[in-house]
Amino acid sequence: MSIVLQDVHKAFGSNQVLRGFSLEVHEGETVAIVGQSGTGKSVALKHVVGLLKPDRGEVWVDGVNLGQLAVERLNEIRRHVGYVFQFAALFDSLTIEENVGLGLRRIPEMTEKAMAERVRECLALVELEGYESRFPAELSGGQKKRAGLARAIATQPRYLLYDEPTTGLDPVTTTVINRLIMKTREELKVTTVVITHDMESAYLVADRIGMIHEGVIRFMGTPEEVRACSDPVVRGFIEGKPELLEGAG
Amino acid sequence: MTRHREILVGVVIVAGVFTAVVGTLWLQEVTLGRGTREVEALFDEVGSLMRGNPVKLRGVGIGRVQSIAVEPGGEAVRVRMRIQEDVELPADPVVILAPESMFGDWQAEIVCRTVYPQFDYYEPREPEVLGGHALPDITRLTAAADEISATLTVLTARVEQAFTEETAQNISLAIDNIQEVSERLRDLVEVQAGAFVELATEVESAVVELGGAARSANLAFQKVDEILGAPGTESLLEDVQATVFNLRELTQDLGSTAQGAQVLVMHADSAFVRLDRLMAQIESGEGAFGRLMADETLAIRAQDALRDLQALLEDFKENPHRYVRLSIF
Amino acid sequence: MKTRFLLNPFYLVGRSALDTVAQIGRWGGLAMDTLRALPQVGTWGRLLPGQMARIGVDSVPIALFIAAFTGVVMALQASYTFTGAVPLYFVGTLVGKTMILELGPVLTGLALSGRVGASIAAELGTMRVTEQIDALETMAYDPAAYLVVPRVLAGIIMFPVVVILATATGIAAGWLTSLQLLDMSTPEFMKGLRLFFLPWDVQFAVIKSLSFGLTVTSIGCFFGFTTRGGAEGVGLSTTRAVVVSSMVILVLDAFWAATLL
Repeated sequence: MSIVLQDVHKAFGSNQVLRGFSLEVHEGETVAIVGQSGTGKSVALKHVVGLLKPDRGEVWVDGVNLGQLAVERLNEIRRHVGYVFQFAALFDSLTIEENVGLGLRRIPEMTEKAMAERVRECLALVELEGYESRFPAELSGGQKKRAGLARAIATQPRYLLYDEPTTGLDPVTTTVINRLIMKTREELKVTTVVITHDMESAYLVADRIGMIHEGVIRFMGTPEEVRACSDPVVRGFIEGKPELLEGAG
Repeated sequence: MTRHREILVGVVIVAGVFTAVVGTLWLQEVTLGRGTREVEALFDEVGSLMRGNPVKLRGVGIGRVQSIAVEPGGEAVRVRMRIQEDVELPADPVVILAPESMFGDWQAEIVCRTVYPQFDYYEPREPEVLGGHALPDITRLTAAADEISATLTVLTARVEQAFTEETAQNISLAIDNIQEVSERLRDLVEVQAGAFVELATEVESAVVELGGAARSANLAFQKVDEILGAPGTESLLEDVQATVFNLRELTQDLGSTAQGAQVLVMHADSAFVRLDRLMAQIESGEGAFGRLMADETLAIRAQDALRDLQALLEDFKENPHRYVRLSIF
Repeated sequence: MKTRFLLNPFYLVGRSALDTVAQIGRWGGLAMDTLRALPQVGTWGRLLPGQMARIGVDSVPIALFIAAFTGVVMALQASYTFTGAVPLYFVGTLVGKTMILELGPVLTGLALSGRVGASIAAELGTMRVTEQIDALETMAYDPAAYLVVPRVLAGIIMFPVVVILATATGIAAGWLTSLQLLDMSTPEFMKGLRLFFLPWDVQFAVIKSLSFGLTVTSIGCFFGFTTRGGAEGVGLSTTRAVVVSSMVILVLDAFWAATLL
């Protein structure tokens, strides 16, 4: 019981995005959240690291309610959470090595040597050895994603959050990324939340899949249960039939 | 962030601070290395003096005004000046504040008191503090000039009051009377010529009195050029000329008829000469304006003289015997 | 019905007034975050020299270029104006006083609001829309400490330095112009230059440029931070940062003149 979102409401101006979103992610488990673009998947994920604060409802990570935390305590929690952004969000002005090492600098007992060693390890894990001194602009989309993953795992987090890890990638790179997600889960024993609208990816990496629709989890289950689900909204999304989604309105 | 960039940041900052500090000192003409000392002076007021204005000695800049503050109690202004240490001040030095140019920039000049003894220097009680005086600046000079011109206007008005048209008419009238009298005298003399060898001594005194009156008239006529511009002056001049002519004729007649009258003729003549000179002055347009400006009582005296002359002539007309007691009457 | 309501002038005035107040409030919020982030020297200390180089050193050429030509023009126009009645050494006074008090700080401030303010807004705006700022936060960095503090501090430190160098350049350019084109002598120019000079003038210019440095960088950071919506949003933020900081510079200029002179 390590990540809990309870009845989270979130609006941006007049746009109500989350309307009572609840989710539980257990220790060591990988949960995929699927849903159409603009339904609030990323918004929900950003609540987990405190980038967004819920208008209503609670967010618990590692048994701590983020709503009442001072920034210092929140940052402690964040050190255990790796976040892989949709477009990697690498810092343009820093080299890949500096990007990956940035989180490590926050750890007081880290020496420069240990930091360099750890960066090398992480880059090796995502198969980006030799790219240390490159700048993000010099990398391809897939390489950026991998570098972003390396940065997320550098601090040895217990939780990994992926925001659309395979979006916009070619099928081969998609497979590489999916394998990386599974590999890190196996090797680092992390609790993982993956946001995606790629069902193949979700089936492949997730222990459970949650379908978000109109600001709430519409359905939650194992890949098998999702495949067998008869909810027209879920079916409409899985099979790519918008008329089913609209019919369920 | 390379070492090179960090050095560049350092260079730029050092250059900026150096420019600011050295530039400020240089613009203030602070001479590093050379010692300075402070001189204080007290003033009644300091005009438009400002902090930073130059301090000069014999026209050479030797320092700057450091601070200006009104003394506690508000009776004087204390000015601190920082000047070069090695400059020796003159004996009995005082400080004169004055505009350096027409554009409001002031200076403090240290001079010996004897250079401008006429100024009213502030006298400080502390011996080491200099006394000082602030010259009026250009605006105050203008104000003073304004005041002078206002006084002049008042003065001119007073002079004009003294010389009204009435005065002019009186003068004219007096001259008419003199002419009449002299004509009568001439007629009288012509008739009596040869018949009487001796003239009474009274004639002498009468003519002397006439001379006195003429002298008074002389003073009055000095004012006449003041009203030369007024209409009717032309005829006035002619009258006076005629008078002089008649009087001279009279004198000559008297001289030829009576030996004893020689002395009185000389008296009368001198009066006429004076009158003549006055005529010349009037004709040549020489003015007594300067004297009139200097002495406004002159106008009043002129009026008095005229009044005297008039009274005398009136008396003469009414009682000629009192003056010329000729035996023929 | 709705569009007609939107075109109502009262609605428009009220809306924009409220938006402006809200904007100032948000700016104040960022300012508070920035102040709170000041103790995190470990985060921003490492980044400060780089920002000082980018904001200060890299701005020196453009600032000197502007100041030099301003100095030339000032000297020429002053001599043109002074023909006859006013002695020519007043060219030195005018060039010196105006460069130190007004044109040095303000022209540099305006130029740097374009150069520095725009680049900060564009950089932080891009970081915002590409989630780099979010990424910083997830890595337990305080974006205010990491991004805002070094830029604002660099601005506050480097603006006066750049302004002083620019002012000196402008005066030097005015002096050379007087010498070469106006047949003035160096002592004449110096007499004019020193005539009404007060050390306070320099302090005034430094205070002014400190405030301009704070203005340009904090407004650049603010519009960068509040960027929304991709490349277009970045462009909008950049424009706004330049326009608003230029306006604030001029208002501050008047404010300082009214309060400090």
